[in-house]
Order: sequence, then structure tokens, then C-alpha cells
Amino acid sequence: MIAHIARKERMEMWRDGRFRVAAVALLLLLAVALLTGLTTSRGTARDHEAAQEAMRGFWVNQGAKNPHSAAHYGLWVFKPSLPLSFVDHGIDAYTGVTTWLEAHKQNEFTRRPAMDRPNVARFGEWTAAAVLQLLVPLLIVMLAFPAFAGERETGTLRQLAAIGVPMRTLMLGKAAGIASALAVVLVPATLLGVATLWLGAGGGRGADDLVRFALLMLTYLAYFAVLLALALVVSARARNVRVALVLLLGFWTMNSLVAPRAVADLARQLHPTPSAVAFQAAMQRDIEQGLDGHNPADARRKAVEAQALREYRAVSLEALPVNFDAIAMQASEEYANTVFDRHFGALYDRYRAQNTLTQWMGLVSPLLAVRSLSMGLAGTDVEQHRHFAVQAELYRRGLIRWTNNYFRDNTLTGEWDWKAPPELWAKYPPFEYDAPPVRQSVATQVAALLVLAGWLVLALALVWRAPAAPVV
Amino acid sequence: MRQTTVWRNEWRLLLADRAPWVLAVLFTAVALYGAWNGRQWSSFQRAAVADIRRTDGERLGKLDSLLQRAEGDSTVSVPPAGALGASGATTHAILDVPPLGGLAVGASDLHPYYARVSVRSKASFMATDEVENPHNLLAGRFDLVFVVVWVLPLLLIALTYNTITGERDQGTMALWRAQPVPASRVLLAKLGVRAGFVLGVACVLLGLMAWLVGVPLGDPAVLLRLLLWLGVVLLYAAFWVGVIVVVNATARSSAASAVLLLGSWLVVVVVIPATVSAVVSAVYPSPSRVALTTALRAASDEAAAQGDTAVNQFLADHPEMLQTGVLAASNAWGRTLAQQERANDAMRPVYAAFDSALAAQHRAAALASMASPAVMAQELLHDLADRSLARFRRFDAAIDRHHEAWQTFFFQRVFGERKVRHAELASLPRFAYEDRSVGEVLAGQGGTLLALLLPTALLWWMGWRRLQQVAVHE
Repeated sequence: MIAHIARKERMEMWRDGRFRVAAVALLLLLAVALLTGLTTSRGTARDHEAAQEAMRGFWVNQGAKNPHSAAHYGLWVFKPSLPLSFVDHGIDAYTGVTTWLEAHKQNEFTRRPAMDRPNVARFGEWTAAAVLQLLVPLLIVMLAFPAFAGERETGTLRQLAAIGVPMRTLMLGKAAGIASALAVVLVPATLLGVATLWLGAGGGRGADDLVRFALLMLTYLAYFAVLLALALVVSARARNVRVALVLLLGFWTMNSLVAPRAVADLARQLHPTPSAVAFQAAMQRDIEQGLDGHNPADARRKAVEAQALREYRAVSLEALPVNFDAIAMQASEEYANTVFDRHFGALYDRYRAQNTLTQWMGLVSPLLAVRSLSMGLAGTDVEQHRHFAVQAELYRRGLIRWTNNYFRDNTLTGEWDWKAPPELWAKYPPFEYDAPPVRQSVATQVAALLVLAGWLVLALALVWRAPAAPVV
Repeated sequence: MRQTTVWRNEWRLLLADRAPWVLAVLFTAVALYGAWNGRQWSSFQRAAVADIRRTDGERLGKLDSLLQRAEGDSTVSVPPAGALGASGATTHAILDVPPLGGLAVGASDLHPYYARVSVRSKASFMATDEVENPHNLLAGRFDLVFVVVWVLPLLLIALTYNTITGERDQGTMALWRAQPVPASRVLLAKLGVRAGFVLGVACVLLGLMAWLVGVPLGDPAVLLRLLLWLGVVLLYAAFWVGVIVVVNATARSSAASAVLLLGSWLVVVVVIPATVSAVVSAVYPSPSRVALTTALRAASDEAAAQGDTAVNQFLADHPEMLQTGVLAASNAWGRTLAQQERANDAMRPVYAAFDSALAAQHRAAALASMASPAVMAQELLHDLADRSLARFRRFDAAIDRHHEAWQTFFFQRVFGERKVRHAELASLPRFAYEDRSVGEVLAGQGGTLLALLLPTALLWWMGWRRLQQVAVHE
């Protein structure tokens, strides 16, 4: 019976020219979005790889130099574009893509691509994610709103009830019918996505990316299932077709276009972040006066001095067999690092609190949870950025420590004019970024997963219970 | 029946309905939220700017007393001019929160609004992005401009989508068409009363919000700007009223009307803008800032590798810099800055190419954006509130001018081997930026205004024509 109903629904939709046009248009749009997404993310990846290589070249070829000058010269690193970013660009345009790794300072990421874009760009981008988040749900609403309300108005619902079709069967049949119509768009789009991934993915992370892609698809399928169920239930309960349509379109608008902004502002208000000026000033203060405010830099230096003299059993800094300046610099680096960890850690924790709130707000607007999962799985969310920022910072610390230790071991205190040989710089390994495995990305999406699962359970329960729709 | 009777009757009908009141409450809620966000952002920026001014003042105060002591006491050591120009004497170039700033966040969440200009190259001091969760930047702000551009049309649509089709659905149209009044007049009254209600509520609320977000209404220039801002709101709403009349007069059923209107909204607010940016960035790709970063490092390395050759070349190119004829070996700042400028000279064509590629992209985008009244309205509302991207471009140009003056002042002292004297502090170049007057804004946005006005007029004319032909039955 269910299959019969599904077939009837599918056939009816297919006969409707508007559906065919919409399906083809949507499929085309998805194909274009996937391919341009691939071009963009591969282009960015190439651009960044080339720059990274050039910067490494500058570092290696900087010639004979004092190690501390080399540390000040430093190195720029560029955020790679991950393979799945072609599906969802996420926040990529809104974070800096590069940071300068230099002595004494953890720098912020600069050069947000969005800053160079024209005004109109902030209205949104045509990515595959945008099509899946905005347009497919709209198609679902358009297909499902008359499912019951329409039959009721034409009187066929009464006939169906009269021949003894159970409400649940009718509901499941209609759901299956609409789902199979949607499959006309989604199955080719998924195949295209896999093909694009296969075309575009370089490197040996194939399995992880496939898992990510599969989870992305599951996320969207779950979302579509939720919307389909809600639409059918609304259609069954609504007074007439008009009410069903207006309610569903209203929900779609709030969910897709109003909620993301409203919640972003709410998150900012509930978990405020400091201004850049205050952020920098606080770090500066902690470095100068100590994290507890009672351990100023000169007192710390005296302690390092005493310890070095003890360690080398020397009576004065001049008598040390190593360069004390380098020891002191490294000690102050270590101290600054704890300050950076505290402040940057707190800042990123604030971002996480804001984003978790957004995920929970998915209870009101399920798209928020889906957006978060989509970016997280595509590797274009704030957590991914943090992961890169932390690795870049650890590389910086290693690099600076290496220059300081080299300076310490090869010179005596005060030898600022000494220069390290030009071939030294190649000995420090280049920066290699390891993107996090999928389970690490999912770990910060627990709220979103719970929310989406909750919606899915609710939706399935609603369909299963098949509210007794009035037949007239 | 007189025209006023028809309108009065429609007004009574509207007031008796629940929908307008629900929508008015909804609108009040979103407007309050938008106003609150705008106000919070403005005070956040004001606090940051006050912090900056305070530390700038402290720095200059310290320098002032140091130089004063040095005047009378030769043992007091004064940092070299280069060090003062690079940090000791520097203050920030600041773009203040504009008077109408609470109405719009605009481009101000993405672009730096201050920079500590120094004798160093511009690239070294322009990376003062505000701390912000990128996720929030992506989502955009829920400010009053968002309320106007995105939400206001939805409210208009919600209240009017079935004005004509609903009459037909209920069968009431046949009744009043038996009256001796032209149908178009009644329909006009129905639509006019509903749209007028929304717009009246919108204007009153937005005026109230302007007061709430702290717009100084006592200043006549500000008041004029606010009135023009509200004028743009009305013009944009008029565009939507046009769309609503045409669709209402054409649609066969209320459901069809709702779908068509929401579809138009989606096309104007989402589809066209996203397509415009996709097409424009495909035809005019963004120049790469990443490549710029690499080029800058290559140029600096090149100048450093050339060492004295680069310095001499720079001094030969700029003979006005050096009064003594030769750079003293001890003038470390002179050497550093000469090398820096040599690298900048090499970068000039690279920057020029970058800027012109970007400008071409932005010009194309501005032209193509005329396809969407939503983008145009947003642009006008941002510009009138002094929160547009263009304002940041002007700020950037003002920084360039100030940077040049600052460099000239300190280069003269660095290369002339002179210390900065106490009396000279007063003549330090000061950053100056002035926003455009209302007249200049309007002159600059004439094309946009016209591009918004034309489709509106066309829709009204079409709507009027169609109203004459509305049928009683489908």
C-alpha cells in the first residue's frame, strides 16, 4: 500500500512541469556550485602552498645571520585549504589566512579574504552547502505543503478515509513518494560530489575525507528528513492549503535566513569577546608584570640569572661557558608563551562558547545545528582554524627555541655581532600541517549532533503517530 | 460612495483584524533587537577608541616631559628621531563611530577602524583587525539595516499577500463589486491601507530606534541624514509595495500569491546578490593578498641584500632627503628606513596592479548589484549612516596621506641627523579625516538612487494597470 501511494505521489510530481524544471535547475546549480567550489578551493590551496614554499625559501636562504636576528626575521605560514572545503567554504573568507611567526610574539592571523570583497559578497555565496541549506529545503516545502491539505480541499482525503487507508500508511506513502522525487536531485548530486572529491583530493587522507563526506551527506539527509516530516505534519494539521503554505514558508524563512544572524548577535552578547586593544594590552601587562601581577620581568630575569650561575657553577655571567643572553631570551619566551596560552586559549574558548550556544539554538532552528556540522565536517569552522593556529604557534615556539639554543651553545654572553653560518637555516624542518582526524572535528559538534538527532526522533515520531488529520 | 469612505472602511477592517497587531508586535521586537545590537556595537567601538586615545595621550605625555627635561639638561638622553617616528611619538589614526552609527553595523565589523601610523611601511601597521569570532562575521549582524532590508519586505508580504486573492477566495469581491465604485479604487484602498499601516509603523519605530541608539537628533545635519535614511527605507518599501500590487493583481490564488511574493523576495535578497558575487568573482578574480605578502618579503630581502647599494640608490633617488650629502655610518635608522623605502619603491607597481584589479572587481560588482534593489537599499542605508565600505576606503586614503606627512616629517630629521625638539611636538603631523556631507553622499549615490527608483516606478505603473483588470472570478 505504502509503495502504491509513494508511486502515485511520485508520478503526480513528475507530471507537474514545475517540479521537473525545479529539479533540473537545482541539480544544475548544485553541479555548478560543486565545480566552482572545487576550483576556488584548489586555487586557494595552490596559492597558499606556493607562498608557503616561497617563504621557506626566504628562510633557508637568509644568509649568515645572528640567530636572534633570524628569529626576528621569522617566517609566514599560510592556512591550507582542506579537500572538503569545496562543499562548504564556511568561515574561510572571514579568518586571516596567514600569520607571521617571529620572536617574542604570537601574532594574530591577518588578511581576511572577505575584506577585499565587494559589499554584495556579504549577502551570501553560492556554495553546494548554500544550495543544500536554502534551496533543497524550499523544494521540500513546495512539494509537501499540499500533500494532505490539498487532498482535503479537493475532497479526495475523505474518499481515501472511506476506503480504509490508515493515516499512518498514507503519511509514510507520501513521505516515501516525496523522498523518491527528491532523490532525483540528491543521488546525482552525491555522485557528483564524490567524483569531485576524488578529482580534487590530493594526499593520503582519502579515507578520512570519505568518512567526512559520508557524514556530511548523512547530516543533510537527516535534515531533509526532518523538514519533510514537519512539512507533512503541518500539511495534515493545517486548516487549508494556504495556511499550510504560509506556516511552512514562514518557518523556512526564519530558520534559513533570520535565525543565523539573530543567534550570532545573541552569542556575542552572552559571551562577549574583548576588543583587540584590550586583548593586546592585557597580554602586554601580564608579560611585563607577571601573570599574577607580582612577578615582573626584571625579577624573573634575576631568577634566571641565579639559576644559570648555579647550574654552571659560575661566579659571574662573563664566566659562563654559554651565552646568557640566549638563556634569558628563551626564559622570557617560555614565560610569554604561558601568557599567550592563557589569553589566546581564553579567547578561543569564548568563540567555542559562542558556537556551542549556536549549536544548541538549533533546538529552535535546526539549520543552525546543520550549518555547524557542515562546516565542522568540511574543515572550515572555527575549531579547524584554532587547530591550525595552535600548530603554527607550536612550530613558532620550536623554531625560536632552536635559534635561542643554538645561540646559547655556540657563543658567549654579549656576542651579538656573531653570525651563524648560512647553511644553518635549512636544518630546521619545514612547517607541515596535520589536519585533525574526523573524530576530533566531530568532538566539538556534540551539541549539534544531539540537536539534530533530537529533531530526527521528533520528526519520525510525528510521522509514525500520524496525527489524525481531519478529513474535511 | 466617496473615496474617503472607502479608505475609512478599509482602515476599520484592518484594525478589526488580529494580523496587523501581531505583525506590529513582531516588528517592534525585531527592531528593538536590531537597535540594541547596533547600540552595543557602537559603544564597544567607542570604548575601544577611548582606550586607544588614552594610551596615545599617555605616550605623548611621557615624550613631552622627556623632551622638556632634555631641553634644560644635556645628560637626559632622547631617542633618535627614527625611534620616535616608529613608536615613541606615534598616535593612532582613528575612524570614529559616526553619529548615525547605531543604525547600522555595515562594513565596520570587518574593517579596521584605527591604525598606529609610523615611519615604517604601511603593511607593518595596517593589520589591526578587531577581535571577532569569524563565525559571527560570516553570519552578519542583526542590525536595523538588516531589519529594513530583509525583514520589512517579509512583514509587508505577510500582511498583503492575499489582499485581492483573499477577497476572491471568500467570495466577498463579488459583493462589493456590485457597489457603484470602480474596483480598482477599492483594491487600491485595501492595499494602500495595509501597506500604509506597515510603513507608518516602520517609520515611527525606526525614528524611535534612532533615538534609542543615541543618534544626536538635535543636530540639524544629523536629523537631515536620518530623514533621508528613512526616505530610503520608504523608497525600498515602495519597491516592495509595487511587487506586491503586481503579484496580487495577477495571482490566481492566495497560495500562488504567497509563493510568488516569497519567491521574489528570495530572488532579490538572496539569489541575485549571490549570483552577482559569483559571476563577478569569476570574471574579475580577487587579486591575491597572499602573493602580495610574498612579494613584499622578496622586495625587503632584496633591499637588505643590496645593503649600502640600496641605501645609496634610495638617497640618489631622493636627494631632498639628505642635506649633508652622505649618510653617516652611525645613522642606523637612516639605513633601515632607506632600505625600507627602496623595498617600497620596488613594491609600488605590485601594489598598483593589486589595487587596480580590486577596483575593477568592485566597480563591476557595484554595477551588477543594481540588479538587486536589496543590495542598493543596503548600500544607500550604510552610506547615509556612514558605515559603508566606501567610508573605509576613504579612511584608508586619509591614512596614506597622513603616513606620507609623517614620513616626511621624520625622514627630514632622520636623514638630516637632527633630534626632535620639544617645541616641534606641537607641529607633529596630525591625522585628519572628514566624512562626506549629505550632499556629497547623495551626489555619489545618484546612480543607485535612480536604479532603485526606476523599477519602483515601473512596478507601480504596471500594478495600477493590472488593478483595472482584476477579475471577480479566477
